[in-house]
Amino acid sequence: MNQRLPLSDIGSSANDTALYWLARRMSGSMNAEERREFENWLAADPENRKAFSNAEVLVSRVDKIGDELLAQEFEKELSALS
Amino acid sequence: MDTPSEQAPGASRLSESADIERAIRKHDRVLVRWLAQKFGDVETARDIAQSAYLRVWRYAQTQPIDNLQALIFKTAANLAANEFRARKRMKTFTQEPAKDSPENAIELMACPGPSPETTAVAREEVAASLRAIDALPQQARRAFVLSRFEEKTYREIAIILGVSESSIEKYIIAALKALRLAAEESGRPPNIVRLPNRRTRQ
Repeated sequence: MNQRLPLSDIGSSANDTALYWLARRMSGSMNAEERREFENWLAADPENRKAFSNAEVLVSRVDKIGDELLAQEFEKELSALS
Repeated sequence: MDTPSEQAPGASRLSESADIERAIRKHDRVLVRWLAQKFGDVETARDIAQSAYLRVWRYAQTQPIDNLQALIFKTAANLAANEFRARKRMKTFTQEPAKDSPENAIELMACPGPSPETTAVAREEVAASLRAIDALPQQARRAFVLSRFEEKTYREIAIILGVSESSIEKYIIAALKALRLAAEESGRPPNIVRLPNRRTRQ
């Protein structure tokens, strides 16, 4: 079972499609067929490759503050418990 | 009325110590259970809880504390986050990089060495990203943090948050779009701006 959103829900630009594929790659449920689909999209146009690395940079910025974000989230979870 | 200043010297500290002990005893079970769930083992949970109590204790020797429970949870949350991320980093270094990644984003960021100006810009971008994640609706924010920093699959997150897997995907995409917007608004979108061809300007 693979619950994917239709790509048309996201947007049609290379940047939107890049966010969609990044979200798919974060899902932990990509199968071989979908991976091929992604590779094909990536190879189809240099713009796609550019858009995808831009999307990765967006997330890598957040990774730098991962400790802080995670600590905030943990604190919220803990206060909700009591 | 009994205020600490009217008590004999040392008396207020003594009662604070008793307060701390009481607060620790009161929240220990909830905290250890929560930590054990996060780390998957009780021993780590107890270690982190003990370190948190020690820090709270030391802090209390130097500062008056308004809300002991909040301080205990905040301290434990910080320690847990650090431990969590340290374990993740160790795992990442022992794993092979993803083969289908077109360009390694970390390499992209690390090279070439940043100038002071680009460091300042990068800092502003990181701050903007943090604000963007903070401003997300609670479920979307939790989904993003669980996915990115707790390495949960959408299926696992769906169970934790009690929604469908496709809802999780929507949350993640919303988070990514918020990050993109924040990057655009912080003045330097990651998209390369196309300059007019040089030849046309000559």
